[in-house]
Amino acid sequence: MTRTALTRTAGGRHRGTGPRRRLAPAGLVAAVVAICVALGPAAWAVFTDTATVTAGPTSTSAFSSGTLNAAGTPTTAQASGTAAVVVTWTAATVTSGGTGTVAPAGYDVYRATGAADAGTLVCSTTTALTCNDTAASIPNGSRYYVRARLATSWVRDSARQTYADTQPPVVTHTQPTSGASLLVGVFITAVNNSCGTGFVACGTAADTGGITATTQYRLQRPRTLGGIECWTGTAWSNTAASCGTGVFLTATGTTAWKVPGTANTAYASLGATYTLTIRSVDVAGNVAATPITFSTLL
Amino acid sequence: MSSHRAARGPAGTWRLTLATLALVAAGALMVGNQGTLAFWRDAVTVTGGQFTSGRLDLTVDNAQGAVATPYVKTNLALPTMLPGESVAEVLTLRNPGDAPYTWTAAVARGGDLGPALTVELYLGSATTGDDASYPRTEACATTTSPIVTTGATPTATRLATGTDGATGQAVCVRVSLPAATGNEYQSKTTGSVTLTFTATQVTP
Repeated sequence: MTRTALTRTAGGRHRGTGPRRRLAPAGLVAAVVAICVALGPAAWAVFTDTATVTAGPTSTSAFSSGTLNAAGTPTTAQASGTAAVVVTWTAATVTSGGTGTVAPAGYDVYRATGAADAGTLVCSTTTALTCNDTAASIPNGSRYYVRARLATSWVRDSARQTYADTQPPVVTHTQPTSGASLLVGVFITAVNNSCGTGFVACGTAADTGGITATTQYRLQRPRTLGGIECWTGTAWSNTAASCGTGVFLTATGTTAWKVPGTANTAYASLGATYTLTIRSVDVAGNVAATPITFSTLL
Repeated sequence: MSSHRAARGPAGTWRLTLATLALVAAGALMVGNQGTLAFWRDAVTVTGGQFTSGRLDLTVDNAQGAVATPYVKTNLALPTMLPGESVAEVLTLRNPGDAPYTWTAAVARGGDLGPALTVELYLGSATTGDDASYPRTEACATTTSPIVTTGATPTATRLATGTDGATGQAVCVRVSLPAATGNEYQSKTTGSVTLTFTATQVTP
């Protein structure tokens, strides 16, 4: 049988008589292959399966975030009218899911002008719970708040504390100085050299909240016949208008004040004791009026 | 004429007889002879082996993880997260079937904290770090083969694999709250993460 088959195949009867019959199926196969190639992999049907995983323990609350709680409302204090405002607060806390205490990364202290504005950064700390506002000008009524920081972006602001200026201006006497006791000639020369001719005393007044436009003075000395008399700017007088109780006269300047007059006239008496009170008021109404005394020698 | 008849007497009759036989034989042949032939026949039946279909059945930690009833990875959670904290867990993908396959992973983040979460997938079966004490910073031990990383938009990356046999393929999942997470994501309570793994049979 094999031999016969080989004979029939090798005999070429099919080849010789059936080229067309063989080409037709070959062409069909080629066309099918071409279509399959053209259709690409999408023509293949494949098995698929999916598996879905949710984070636990419940699908809606697997993750939550902590909270940076605000620092305590700050308090403010100022040692004098020109000293820094010291801001103090209590620590912020952090609500965390981890064990252990979480501390904020640091604190920034801001001074604002109202209840909602961002204000100006005045000082920062990492762990300290106090810092100083050393600005030269700190308006009365400023609002301080403390911003706690955690990581890069988390912050929480404290409530705001209104700064109340309770400190009077700081008055400095250039000449005459408190407690000075000099010969008249030396005394007058010192005054003239520091204050210039035309003034009998000079100095400065300062306050971080600002000084009102008027600085006043009261320069007095005992009268020979008893009582006191006051310098009017040109002469000594004991009238009520110039020397009554609580009377102050207007000096020249505010933060740099000068008492008008001629030193040779004001300090002509030998062996006299003078009392000078400079009255300076800041914008918060705090009054500085501390007297100093000085004297001339024979 | 009679001589012709006499001459054709016995001999002519023989010839006629032969001719008649020849005609009968020819007729018999012309009527057909095949249907009257008998031949041998035989049939052989071949029975093939059994045919069955293969199976592609993707499981996670040996759970089916159907869409309607997802597999819940209980430990893949971190409550009250602070910026910079993270948790990592290992999932095992396995095909108990026999079809070679590839798989893709897609990440969906939901809830009010979802947009802030970063989800990363790596090949590997080990985690590092601590998920108890602050700062909780678990991580995947191997990060050289990232599969999925999410930033603002989750993305999926196809990874070709063969059959995984009985051991499966370990995938480390890390979920973190980046250190630069915005302030608006404080005190959120409903963060969620869903991972969808899709296996596709490798075509021949």
